[in-house]
Amino acid sequence: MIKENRWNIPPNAPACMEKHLCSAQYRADGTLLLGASSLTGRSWQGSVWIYSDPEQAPNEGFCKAGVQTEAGVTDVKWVSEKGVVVASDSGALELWELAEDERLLVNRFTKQEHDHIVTTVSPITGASSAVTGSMDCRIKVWDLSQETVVTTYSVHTQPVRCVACSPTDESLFISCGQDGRVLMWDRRKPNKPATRIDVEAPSCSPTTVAWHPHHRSTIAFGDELGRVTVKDFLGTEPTQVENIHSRRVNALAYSSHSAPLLAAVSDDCSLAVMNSELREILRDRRHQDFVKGVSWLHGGSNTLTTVGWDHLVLHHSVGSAAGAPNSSS
Amino acid sequence: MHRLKIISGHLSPSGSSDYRRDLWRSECGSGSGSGPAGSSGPDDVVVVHGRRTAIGRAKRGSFKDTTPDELLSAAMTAVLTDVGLSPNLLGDVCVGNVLQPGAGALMARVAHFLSGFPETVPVYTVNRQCSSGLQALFNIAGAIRSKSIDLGLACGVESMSLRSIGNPGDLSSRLVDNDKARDCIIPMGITSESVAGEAAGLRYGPVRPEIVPVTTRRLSKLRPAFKPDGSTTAGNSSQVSDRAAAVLIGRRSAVEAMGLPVLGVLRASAVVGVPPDVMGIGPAYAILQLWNKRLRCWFNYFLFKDDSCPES
Repeated sequence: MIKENRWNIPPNAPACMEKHLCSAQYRADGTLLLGASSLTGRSWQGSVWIYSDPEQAPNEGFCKAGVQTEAGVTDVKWVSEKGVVVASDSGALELWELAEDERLLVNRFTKQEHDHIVTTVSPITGASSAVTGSMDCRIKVWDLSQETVVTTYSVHTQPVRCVACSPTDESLFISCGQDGRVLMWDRRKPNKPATRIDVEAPSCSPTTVAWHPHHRSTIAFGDELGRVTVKDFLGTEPTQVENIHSRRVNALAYSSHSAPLLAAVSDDCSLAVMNSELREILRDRRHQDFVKGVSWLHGGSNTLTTVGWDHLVLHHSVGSAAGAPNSSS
Repeated sequence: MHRLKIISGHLSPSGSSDYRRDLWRSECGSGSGSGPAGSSGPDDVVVVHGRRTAIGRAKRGSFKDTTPDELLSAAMTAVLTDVGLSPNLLGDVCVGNVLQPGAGALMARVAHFLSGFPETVPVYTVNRQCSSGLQALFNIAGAIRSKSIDLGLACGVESMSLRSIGNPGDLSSRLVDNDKARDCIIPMGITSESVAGEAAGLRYGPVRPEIVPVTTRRLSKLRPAFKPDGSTTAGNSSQVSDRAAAVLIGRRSAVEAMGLPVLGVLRASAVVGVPPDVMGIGPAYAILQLWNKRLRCWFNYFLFKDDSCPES
């Protein structure tokens, strides 16, 4: 039972948000989830924040809910209406749930199964499972209701940078790692679950990957050089590669339009939004530091939000999908 | 005083029936006048100024892609710019480092030039594992005391993002037959658990140094100085980090002649060897040795770190 407080501040939200915003994701109803970490200083912590009004982010006083985590946070994702999975610097996967009218984040479990920083987490469609990737080079598939690891894959030879589960098929997910491999995983195959997806030369380590929301075999991945590649791994469409950024691509996100736009954010401190031909329709350089997360609003919206190490949460708006670049204010 | 009581309590066996810790205050002589612990004189080795970068988390934090020469250069430049000292007045520069090849001999020289130091100022590096930075300080202090130089810069730097504790070097196969030698390659995490089992119970308070911001583009506004008061023994739990620090020290007569401030005086140092499997307890024994040198006056311990380890 939460005591009513005059300022409507959630009871266990930290007083201060860590500076480095690492991850952001919208829920279907427009509630924004943020992950923050302190990466300099004497102690390194993290926190998870929920904003029902994203315009108020990252103001701590106006959050819906917030909680301090025991270590830095690399990735946060919604796993259901009320669940949030958190990839932690401690090697743990944490599951938090919203309770008390969504004003309280309650820890369901924190399981330290990885031996190094967990760099990425992706919920499997169906909401009872998730996949994590870590700097210990392993990928683990979790059963969230049982709170255990179901399978561990040790295929990558270097840290796993990103895993992304297919939005349509719950047995498929993609992983990419510092070893330069982009792998397509099929959990139904016990013997050889992973298939290598070829990366265009010059090969350089892929950093992030995203599934196309509608085409079942199309994926986009970004790499250390700032290139974005859109590839159909069943081979029917030609591969598109563009030099979008001048430094590492940190995150990719497809919009929810019927002809989705692709947003890419980078260590070059900018956001680029591209259309289906990988032509740039928006470039925003307001961020002062590495841009680490990007998320589109659901429902075919033209609005997307970027977060970065400069502690800024910037909202952007694109014009009509095929139109000229719209500089957002 | 309270802190001294706690520290001195740790150094005496607990539960001794005679336990009565009388602490008295005596003049250390770091100001004017003479006291039992020593007077101040023109040949004292004094600390002028110190700066450090923020501590970035290895592999994830702000310095994960920053080479150590950049970190070191930022700290060195900051110290000299703050006091308005021209680098050609430095007699020597010593840099503590562990993970770089050759303890960073080449890296340090590069940092040197990145900071615009002239080639006439020498530099060398030192590796005493976790206490490399502190060792650099005492190396420079020794050179000042022996009148080889008047003013020197002692630094420490480490990038644990870019280098890990990997290759232990070329070791004899006889290592496995020798217990102590074999213990030397025990990873730090395991030794720290052994230390936790020790009865030591030493508690460390936080150091309060000041931070130099390191930007990828250019070093800009520099924050105020390193404070002599309020320091204590080592830091908190061992973290994997990227950082650099630099301290300017000199002979009191030279420092005063240049009009530079004096923050504190180096009174004594101690170094001990301990069993390799519990190497983290080094500070406890070193402090005991200092204590036994009858340095029981109202003093301030300075310990600063150049890499992940919080020990001296």
